[in-house]
Amino acid sequence: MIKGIYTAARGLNSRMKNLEIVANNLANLNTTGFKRVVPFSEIINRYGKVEIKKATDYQQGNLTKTSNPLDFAISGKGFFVIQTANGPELTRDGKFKISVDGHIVTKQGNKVLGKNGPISVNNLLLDKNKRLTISSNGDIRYGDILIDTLLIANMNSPEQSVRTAGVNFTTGNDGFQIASRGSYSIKQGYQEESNINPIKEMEEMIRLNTEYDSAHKIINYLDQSLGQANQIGKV
Amino acid sequence: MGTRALRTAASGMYAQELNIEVISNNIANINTTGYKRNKAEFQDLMYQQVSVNPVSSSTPGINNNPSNSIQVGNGVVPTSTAKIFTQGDITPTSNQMDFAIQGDGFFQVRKADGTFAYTRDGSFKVNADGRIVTSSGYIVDPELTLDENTAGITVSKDGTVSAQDSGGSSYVLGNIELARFMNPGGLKALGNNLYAQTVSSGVPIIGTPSKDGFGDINQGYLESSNVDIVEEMISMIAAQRAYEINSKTVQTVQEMMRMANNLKR
Repeated sequence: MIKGIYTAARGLNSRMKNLEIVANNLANLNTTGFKRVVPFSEIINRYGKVEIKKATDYQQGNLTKTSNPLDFAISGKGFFVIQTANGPELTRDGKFKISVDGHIVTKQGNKVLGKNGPISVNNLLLDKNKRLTISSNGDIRYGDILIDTLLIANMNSPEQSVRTAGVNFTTGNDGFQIASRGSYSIKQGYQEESNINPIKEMEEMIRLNTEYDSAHKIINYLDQSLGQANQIGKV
Repeated sequence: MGTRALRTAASGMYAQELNIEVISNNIANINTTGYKRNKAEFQDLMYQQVSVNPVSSSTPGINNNPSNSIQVGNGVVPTSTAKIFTQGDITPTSNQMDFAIQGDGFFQVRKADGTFAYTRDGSFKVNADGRIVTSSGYIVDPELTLDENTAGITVSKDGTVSAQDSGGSSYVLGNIELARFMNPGGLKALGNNLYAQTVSSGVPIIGTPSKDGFGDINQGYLESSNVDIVEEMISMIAAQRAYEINSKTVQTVQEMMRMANNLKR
């Protein structure tokens, strides 16, 4: 019976943790390129141990037009590869800018990688006859000159990815591989919205609240029964 | 416990509040010549590794298992407001000192401190020295000076300014040039319809209107703001609902905390 109280208390704890996840999803309703964190579930595996099932929902978010030449969105699978202080990371947020030294960088200032490393547009910037265009395959051209091709990658094991701030992912031990041409399409002047559906999150929140309530009631009943058991010995 | 969820929800509410501020500024500027609408940008905060099984248990193997930890986020932070540089509607004014750019580019103006600023607002005037200035008095660069004999000016689509004197003869006075940016969304708004270059906008590329992808100059027209009232209203409804749903998170956490407080009778 004491064990029952522990089990129910663990239920309370995991519901609260899941609510934190739902709260984070809802707070990021308008974050470009944000991918939903699926609330985790606990299962007992075949060795009788508790296992956590956690996942990220990589579903495509809506693409909205911004008309900014340095806003890129990926339609289909794949991620932009960026260079950070902690090694390469993947992101779906393609709102880029030009750094002081003429590289294409993310909002946080991390260099965006092309097939030949960081993409430099420095020496081409002052030419008024040319403009930066990008084909759906990710070929970056300045006028007719091909500068580089955006590196688009897929995770080898998406379930092992770890989030870092700024809608970036690190890929864990398995790393990533370069996506084949044609498996994605890059849209210039678009950004990908967050893939959060508020109705789904609301539903999840109601469910968590109800389950929390049930676990709380179970603890109360067990407490009552234990109290009665303690009464038995009294004369 | 739970306070993280409260803080996360609060960060979401703060973000939506800022969103509403940006939207209301867009709506307030619906009749501002050459105004470009803003959009608030957000980014998620750092994630934390949290163990899922903090309650001690008699079952072995539940604790100290690294795979039994999850990543919990800390909410959202507003990062920037991005300008959306789509073309505004061109409206006729029949005023010879009104200019609208149809297409890419900005008029270049010189501020009092000698630095340059850029604008899409082409409602120009002539100042006391005969120079062409913006409605707030900044000198248009390259400078164009009219003398006392000038009866009127004509500006062609490629920016060539010709002046007619009182005798009826006409001569070329100069050219209006336009500036373009790699990333106009990165320009900094200075107020007074002016923008300044930043690191993220890139350096200005100066050129002749109608050539090399620059826009046309239209004399006797002004560019309205590109704010679409329906779109702003929809954004406002969405922001308000998003604020509300974050406040529901606060409510739910509060309810759950109350239940936790009632565990001990």
